[in-house]
Amino acid sequence: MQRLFENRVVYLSIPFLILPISFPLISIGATGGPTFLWGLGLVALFAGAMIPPAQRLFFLPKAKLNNPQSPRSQS
Amino acid sequence: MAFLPYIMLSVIAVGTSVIEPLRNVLMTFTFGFPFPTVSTGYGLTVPGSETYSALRPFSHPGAGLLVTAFLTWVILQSRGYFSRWAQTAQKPAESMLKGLIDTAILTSVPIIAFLIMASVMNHSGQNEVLALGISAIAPAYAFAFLSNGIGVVGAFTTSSSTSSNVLFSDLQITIARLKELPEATILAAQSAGGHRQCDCAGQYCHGGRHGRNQRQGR
Repeated sequence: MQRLFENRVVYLSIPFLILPISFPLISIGATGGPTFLWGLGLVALFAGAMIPPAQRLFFLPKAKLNNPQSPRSQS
Repeated sequence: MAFLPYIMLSVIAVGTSVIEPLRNVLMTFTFGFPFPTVSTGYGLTVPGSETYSALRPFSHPGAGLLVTAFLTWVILQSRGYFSRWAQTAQKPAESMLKGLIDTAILTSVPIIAFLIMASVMNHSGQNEVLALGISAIAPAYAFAFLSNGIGVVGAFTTSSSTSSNVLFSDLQITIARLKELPEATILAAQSAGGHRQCDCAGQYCHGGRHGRNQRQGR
């Protein structure tokens, strides 16, 4: 998990994929499709929105923590 | 050859907007998801839509850019420009797909996120509730003065004046209508506030922090 969140392209790929699919899921679930899709879309939306700030809060590289002005080691 | 993409883009953009039969064909296909009616606790109702914010993918300006980028890549690749450039720069030739993923993901995620936030704010009635609240307490000329500040706040939080406009334009228009102020002037104030914030922060207004990071190779 730690290594996953240290590579910016890898951890941003998750919201890149799940954010665009969240709205179609909500739309289908809220307008006649299976109801669970509505909740699934909401979870996808919430998860996609939370991953970038969660990385900043919990998985910031140590080099960045020690010296906030230094460029990221993995980006 | 360096001007090829610009010439191609100009031809595609002008052709798809001036040649009427072609334009009509490209505009026939629309795409959008249905969304139900939303009612807020304040009694505001946002009507549902069969095709919410319908997109015409083939007549959209982005389609022209995509076609131009693809054709340019095909032509330059077939003529060996990329391998020759790698020899000139004395660097290994990087895969176009890898470069595309590396740059597109970093810049796309923030844009997707704020577009979703703007859509949620709009369709859930948050913009109207905020507009009604502000219009209830702010006199017209006080709001006209503060509309600039909303642009500043938007640009500060998103690092981009364009993003600020996407987020807060609906709010500004709604308040302007409620206060019977000229919409164009209020939107201009919002836009000017966003640009001023970006200039003060030493950032590039249209690319924001993400564009700056790209330019600095982060």
